[in-house]
Amino acid sequence: MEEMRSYLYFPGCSLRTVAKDFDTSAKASARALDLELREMQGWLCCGAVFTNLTENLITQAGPSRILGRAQAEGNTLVTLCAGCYNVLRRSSQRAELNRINQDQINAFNEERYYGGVTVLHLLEILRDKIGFEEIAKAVKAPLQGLPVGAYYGCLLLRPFREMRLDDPHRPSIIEKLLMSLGATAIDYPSRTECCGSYLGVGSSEIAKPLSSGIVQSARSCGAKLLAVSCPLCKYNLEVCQNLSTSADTDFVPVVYFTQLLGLALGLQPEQLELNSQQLHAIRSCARTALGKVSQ
Amino acid sequence: MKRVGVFVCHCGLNIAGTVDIKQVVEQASKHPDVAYAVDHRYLCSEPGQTLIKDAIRQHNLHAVVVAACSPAMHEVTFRNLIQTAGLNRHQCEIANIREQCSWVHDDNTTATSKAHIAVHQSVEKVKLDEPLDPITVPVTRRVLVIGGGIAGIRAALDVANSGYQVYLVEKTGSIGGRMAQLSETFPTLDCSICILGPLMAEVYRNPNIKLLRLSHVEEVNGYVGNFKVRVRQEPQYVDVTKCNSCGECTKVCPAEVPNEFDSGLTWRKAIYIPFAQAVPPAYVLDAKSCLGLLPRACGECEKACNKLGMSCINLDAAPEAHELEVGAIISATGYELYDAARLSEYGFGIYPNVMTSLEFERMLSASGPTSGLIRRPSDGHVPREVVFIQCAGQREPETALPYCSKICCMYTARHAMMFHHKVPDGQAYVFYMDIRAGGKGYEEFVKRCQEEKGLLYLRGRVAKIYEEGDKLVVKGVDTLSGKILEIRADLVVLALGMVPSQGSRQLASILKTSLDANGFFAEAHPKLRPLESPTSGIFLAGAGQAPKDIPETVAQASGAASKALNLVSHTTLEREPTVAKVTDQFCSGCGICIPSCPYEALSLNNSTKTIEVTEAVCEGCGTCVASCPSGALSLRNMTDSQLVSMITAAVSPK
Amino acid sequence: MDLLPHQVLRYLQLGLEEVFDSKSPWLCATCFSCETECPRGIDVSKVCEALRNIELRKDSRELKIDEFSPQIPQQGLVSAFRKLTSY
Repeated sequence: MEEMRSYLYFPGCSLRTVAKDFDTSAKASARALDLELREMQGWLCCGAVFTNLTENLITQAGPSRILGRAQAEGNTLVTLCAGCYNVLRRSSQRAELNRINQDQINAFNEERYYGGVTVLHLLEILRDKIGFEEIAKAVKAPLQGLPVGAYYGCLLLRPFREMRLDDPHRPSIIEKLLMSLGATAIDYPSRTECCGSYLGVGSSEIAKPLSSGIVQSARSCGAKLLAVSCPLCKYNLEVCQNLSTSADTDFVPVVYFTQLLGLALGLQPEQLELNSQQLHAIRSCARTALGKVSQ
Repeated sequence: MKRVGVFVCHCGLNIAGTVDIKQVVEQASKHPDVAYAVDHRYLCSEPGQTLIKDAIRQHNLHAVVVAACSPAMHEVTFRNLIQTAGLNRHQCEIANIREQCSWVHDDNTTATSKAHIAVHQSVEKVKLDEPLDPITVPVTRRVLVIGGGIAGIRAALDVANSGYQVYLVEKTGSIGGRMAQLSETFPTLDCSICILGPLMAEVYRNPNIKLLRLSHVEEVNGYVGNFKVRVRQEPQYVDVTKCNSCGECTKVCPAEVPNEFDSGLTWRKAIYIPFAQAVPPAYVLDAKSCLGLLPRACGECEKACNKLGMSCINLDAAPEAHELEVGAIISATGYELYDAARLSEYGFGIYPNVMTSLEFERMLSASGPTSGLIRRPSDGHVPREVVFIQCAGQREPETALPYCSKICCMYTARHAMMFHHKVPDGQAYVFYMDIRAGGKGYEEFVKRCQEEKGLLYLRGRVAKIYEEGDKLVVKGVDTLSGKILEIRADLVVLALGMVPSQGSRQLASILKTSLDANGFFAEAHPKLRPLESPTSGIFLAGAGQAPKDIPETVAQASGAASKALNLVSHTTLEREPTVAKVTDQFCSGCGICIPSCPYEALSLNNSTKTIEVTEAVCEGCGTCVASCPSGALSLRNMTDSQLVSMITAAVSPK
Repeated sequence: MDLLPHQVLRYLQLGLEEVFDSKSPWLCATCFSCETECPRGIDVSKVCEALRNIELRKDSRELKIDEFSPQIPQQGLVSAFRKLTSY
C-alpha cells in the first residue's frame, strides 16, 4: 500500500461507549493497512433501525442530516456497526428515489440531502478497494488456524435487494477475510440467523434461545470464537451464554472482526482492547483447526 | 364515381358504449361518395355479414367500408364476404373504431369525433383502391422439423406418412430427446425408452425422412411456402452408414468427460454412443473432448476400427453445409432444467447429496449410472430418508422463475413411488405447495402415491438445507398443521423448472420469429392458435413453446404436422398483392432502391434498364417507395395520393 | 408464535379481527428473513410493524426491561423502544 487512503467514517453511538473496542480496533487495524478512518463532522445517532412504515418520514430526519453533513466532506461514508450500516445505506438509497418525501424530510434539517453519498461497510473496503490477497501479504502474525465462526446476523445482508453486500443465504465475505488472516473459517448453519436483536432487551425469553442456538451451532462445528460486526449481536451472544449451565470451557467468546484483523496485522492486544477471556481463547486455540472448514 | 357503402358496427357495447353510432352513420351519409350507410350490432356475425352482402346488391355498391374492430381481427372475413357478393376483395377497407378509438378513450365526444375521422379516411382510401388479384407462388412441398425429441419425431412421422418429404435436424448425435432419458412415464409407469424406441426406429426406416444428426440451422431465408434453409452438420467422423456399433473404438479412447445423457453422473469417452438405443445407431466423435485432431494427437479409434476392416472412422472429416428448400418449418426444440446452483438455499453444487430431478431420473433408470439402484452420490450407501422438493425455483416471481412447469407434481409422485418400491424400508417426504394433476388418470395416480405407506406429503416450502455429519438437515414447514419441521435426510431431490433449450434465442432470431417473456417460442394466439408462430409457415410443437407433458406434446406435434400439411398439400400458395409497383415512365434505373429492400425483391432489368419487382418475394413494407427519388415506385393500394387524401380528411376543418 | 407468518397474512386477507389478539407481530425481530425467502417478495416484518402500530396508535404500550445492564448497547434500547412502543 503506497499512499494513505482516507475514508470518511461514521462510528455511531454504541461504538463510542459500550462498543469502544470495535471503534478502537477498527481505527488501529485500518492504520496498519495505510487506511485512515476519518470521523465525519457533526455526526449524530442514526436512529438504530430503519422503519418499516414508509409514511414515518420523521425517522429519516436523523439519517438525512448525517448524510447531508457527510456530503459536505465527501461522497463515501464508511460504517462498522451493522445497524448503522443498514440504516444509512437504505436511507441514502431511498433519498434518491423519492424527491417529494425527501423535500419533507429536508424541511427539518439545514442540510438538503437528495442522495449521492455511497455508504460502505469496512468489509467492502477490505474486499473491493484493498483485496484480501493484499491483506494476506500484510499479515505479520497469522492466526495459525484459529477456528473462528463468522456471525453475520441480519442487518449486514438483508433486505438483500437494498443491501447487496453478499449472498444472503451463503455469504462468504467475512470467511474470506478470516482465511486471509490465517484463521480457519468455520462454516456452521446458523451464521445468518437472527440473534434476537432488540428482543434481547425486553423479551429475553425469545432472544436467549435464538442466540444460544447460534452459539451451540458454531460450537458444535468446532468454532472457538465468534467474529461479529454488531454491538447488539455481541451483547445477545454473550449474555445467553452467561446463563448456560455448562462449564466455562464451553464459553465461546465473541470478538469484533476488526480485533482479529488488527492482531494478524501485528498489533498488540491492548491496542485492540481485547479482554483476557478473548485473549485466552485466541492463544489456546490457534495451531488447531477443528470442525468443518468453510469453502 | 365509386358508390361506397359504410357499415358501422356496435360490437355490442364495445364500441357503442363510447362512440355515438347513430352520429357516425349520419355523418358518413353526408359524404358525396357514400351511397349507403347503416349500423349493426355485430357485423362479423352471420346476420351482419348478410346485411352487407344484401346491401351491396340492393344499393349497387362498388366498395365497402366497415367501421369496426381492428383489421387484424376481421379484414380477411369481410374481404372474403364481398368477394362472394361479386366485388374484388380489395374494395373493402376497415376503419378501426374499437382498438384505436372506443377502447382508448373515456370521453364520448372525443371518441365519436375520432370515429368520424377514421371513417372518412377509409372512404377516401377505398375510393382510390385498385381491384387486385392475389399473387400465386409455387410451394416447396417438403417440411423441415427442428429438434429430434418426441415432438419432432411425432411431427416428422405424421408428415412423412402423408407422403411428403421431411428433414429432421437434431443437434446431438441421436434423436430421442428428454424422453429417452426418462425411466418411466406417468401415470402408467410405462418404460419410457420402450415406448419411444419403436418410434425412433420408424423415423430411421421411413424413406420420406432424412435425418441430419449433429446439425443445427444456421440461416433461414425466403417466406412461407418457399423457405431456403442452410443447415450446418458437424463433421461426421464416424460414418453412419458403415458403423455397426461394435464399440471397439470406445475401448481404446483415452479421453473421458462427464456423460450428458446421464446428467453428468457417469463418464463417457470422446468417441461414444449417446445411449444404447441411439438412432442413428452409430458412434459419435466429440471433437471438443478429443485429445486433438489437428494436429492428430491420438488416432487410436481410427486404428482400432481399421484393424477390424470396418474403416468407419475418418478423422479428417469436415463440416458440411446442407442447403434445404422447404415449404414449412416446425420448431420442436424442447427444454432444459433451470440451473439449480442459482438457488443458494438448497446447496446444490455444495452438497453432493442434493440432486436435480433429472439426475434422480437417470439413477432410477435401468440403463443409468447405478443400473436402477438408488444410491447416495457422496458415499454410495442406500438412502433411507429422501426429501423431494416440488416447485424448486418456480412460482417465485421475485427470486427465480415466475411460472409453474406443470409436470413436476406428477413426476415427483412417480419418483417418490419408485424410490419406495426400490427401498421398501425407506421414507420419502414430498414438500409441495399445490398438487397439479390435471391430465387423464393423473389425480388418481397422485392420490395413490399420497396414500402409499412410506410417502409423506408435506404442504410447505423448504427454507434451508445444511449438512450435519453425513446427513442433510432440511428445514421446512407443513402449513396444514402449522408445524415447523427439520428432517435429517440422506438425499434431497429438487423438482426444478423447465426452461427453453439453450440456443432458442438464436434460433428464434434465425427463424425471424418471436419468444415470449420467459424465452419460450411465442404462439400466434394463446387460445386459438397455440401451435403456430406469428411468422407464417413456422409452427411450434412441444416444450419449446411452453412446459407440457408427453400426451400434450404428441398432440401438439400432430397438430403442427397438420398445419404444415395444410401448406405443402397444395402446389401453390396465394400471397397478398399489396406489393410494390414500378411505373416505367418515371424509372431511370438508378438502382437506389435495390439495397434498401430487406427481402432482395428488386432487380434491374438489363434490357429495359428499369427496375423490376419480384412480386412473390415482396412483403409490401414500402421502404423502396420511400427511397425512390423520382417517385417511380409506389405501393399498390397505399399510394401517395391515397395517403394525402387520408391526411387531408384527418386535418381539414369540419 | 401463536399464528405463523403465513397465517397472519391469511387472517388479514380474510379480514379476521382476531389477528390483533395474536402475539406474533410482537415477536418480530425485523430480521427480514421472511422477505428474503418469500417467492413473492412479501415483507412480513412490514405487515407486523403495521399491525403493531395500529394497536400502538390506539393505546401506547410499555416496554418492560427484565434485566437492565449498562452493557446493553444504545442500539438495542433505541431499536426496542422504536419497534415495540409508540416512540
